[in-house]
Amino acid sequence: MSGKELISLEKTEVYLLVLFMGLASYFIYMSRDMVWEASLFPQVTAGFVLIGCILIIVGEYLPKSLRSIVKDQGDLFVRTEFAESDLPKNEINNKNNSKRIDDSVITSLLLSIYIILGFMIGLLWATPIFVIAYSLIYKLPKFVAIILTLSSALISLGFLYLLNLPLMEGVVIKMMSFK
Amino acid sequence: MSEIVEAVKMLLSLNVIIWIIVGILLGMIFGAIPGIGATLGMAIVLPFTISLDGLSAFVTLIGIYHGATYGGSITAILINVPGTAASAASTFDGYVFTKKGRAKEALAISAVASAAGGIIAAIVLILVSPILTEFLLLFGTPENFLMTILGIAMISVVSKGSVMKGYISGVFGLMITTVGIGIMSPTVRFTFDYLPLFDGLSFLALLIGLFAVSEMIILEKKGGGIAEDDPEIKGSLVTGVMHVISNYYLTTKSTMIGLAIGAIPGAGASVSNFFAYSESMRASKNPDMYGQGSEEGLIAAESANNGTVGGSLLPTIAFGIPGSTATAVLLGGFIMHGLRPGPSMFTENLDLTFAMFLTLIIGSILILFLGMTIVVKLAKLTFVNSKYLIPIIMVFSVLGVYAVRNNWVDVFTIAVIGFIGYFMIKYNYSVIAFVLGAVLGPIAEENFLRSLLLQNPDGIVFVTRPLSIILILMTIVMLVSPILEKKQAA
Repeated sequence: MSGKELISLEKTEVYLLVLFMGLASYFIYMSRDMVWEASLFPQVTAGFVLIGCILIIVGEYLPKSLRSIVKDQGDLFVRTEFAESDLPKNEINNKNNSKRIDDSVITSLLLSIYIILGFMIGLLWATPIFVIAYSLIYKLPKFVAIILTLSSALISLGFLYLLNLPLMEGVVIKMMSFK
Repeated sequence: MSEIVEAVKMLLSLNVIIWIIVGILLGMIFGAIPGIGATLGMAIVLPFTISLDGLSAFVTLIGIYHGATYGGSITAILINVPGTAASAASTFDGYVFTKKGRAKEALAISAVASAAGGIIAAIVLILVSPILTEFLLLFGTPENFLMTILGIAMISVVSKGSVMKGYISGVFGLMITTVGIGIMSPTVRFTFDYLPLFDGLSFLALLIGLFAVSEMIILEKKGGGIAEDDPEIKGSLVTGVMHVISNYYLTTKSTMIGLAIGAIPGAGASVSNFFAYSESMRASKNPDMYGQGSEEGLIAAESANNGTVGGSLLPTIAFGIPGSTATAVLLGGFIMHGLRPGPSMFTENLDLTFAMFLTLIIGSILILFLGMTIVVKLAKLTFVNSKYLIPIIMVFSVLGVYAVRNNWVDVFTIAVIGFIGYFMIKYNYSVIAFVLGAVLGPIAEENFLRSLLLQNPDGIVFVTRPLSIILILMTIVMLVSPILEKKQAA
């Protein structure tokens, strides 16, 4: 029997559960040498998460009566609060079908690069770069791209001057100034 | 009575009134743009409220919540796309009005019904507060801890995923708040000896990661959309107003349904508008009109969803259990400004609590005024491609969270939690339970340890107090409710 058949969950859900279990195991392990006031709560919560994740993974093999607590129940009411994410689509100008890589993956990568770049060279410089990159990748109209880039630059400057944030500093710039 | 007078005095400051207006306007804008909504709007604005005093911050956030709940009906009525899930039922009849050339009438019904819903809800909350106060005074540290667990349990039962998934989400939220220096001892926990982690993970970063970043990733996946039809906005505002006035009983009943459902943790306005719509159809003399442009249907949906705003404030303020995702963000705002939900909100801070309830009344009057005047202009927002907003929201999220503590851990947190949150939503792991755990984690741990240290280290304190036993039993019932339901069905 292959791994896929043993567990009825989707692959990425299993990864999510493994992440939870990994973190929980780490918390339990690292708290073993702490004083009880510091270790009790993390151990109890991490233990619960660990056991809960295992129950979900082996859900298919649980007795029928227990299976109901690990099985998705659908909406108790007609819709839940998270229907905000399930809104019906409007007339869509959707180019997703023609792309091999999902837009959500691209945006996630762009966000990650934005944050790393900001950490390295400062958010003041990384912010307009992120917006330009986003506009180019998603082929936004030029006029819109310019407005968005200028807006993002103004927002950064606003944070810099009104809130006195160190947005011009990044790890790379700090290293260069030490030299 | 003196607390109400104090509350009125607090609200009658120009500064506070301005922030209510800002909140309502922002909320209407967020609500009118499909895919944005109250929760995301509040999450983005939350970092900026740090520079405000507590009351100004709370009225701004409540204003956004209230305004967005109404704002979602604009697109629901004009282009058949609810701006928020709370306005989904409004499309059934609202859009038919537009197709029949009566859009203004529908918009007027929506404005008046929403305003009425908000006002009635606020009055009921104020009247109920004295009774609630007596009950809340029974709560000690063991009960405060158990309420957090019960809150997670209640949210798990109503959420889409399995009960166990809800519990895992909530307890995972509790778990990650243990990063940093211990609550009751100076032990440094799970920081990899990295100094910026000594202060722990910011719950604001968790909120923004979940409600801004995750939502933008989801929106990206669904694809941005724009309205292609230019809706014709005609009809009579006065006729719309008269419809609501003549259906005062329906308006009140629907508001009460919204209030009751809003008080159930995790249920929210997306549930109440359907319930109220169904109930009004059942009780109507003209049920066949529903879906064909029924004023009653639209009144029921709109008054219920704004009644829910008030209802969801109650468990949030009284117990620290959010009635909806938006109040989860509001809860974060309370903690950020040093306010602890619980009995103190109905004793020494009763004037502040009343001020928050009265904000709903002022907000409702504003909604009524704006709904009859500028809402037609707000219809232009339906043409905004949400793809244009995503980069700006990401920028606000990153800069906003960095502004709070100048800590890069927070910035990385919003990305990591944003990605994890996306998959949690995808696989029905309750995000609201996670937020509850993350926001209340430090308080829950403190109450837990204090109960053990001050009362009895062997934990017997949790099973010797009557209220604690009731809360434990309720939690167990929530956990095994799917098993009991299955046995009953068999």
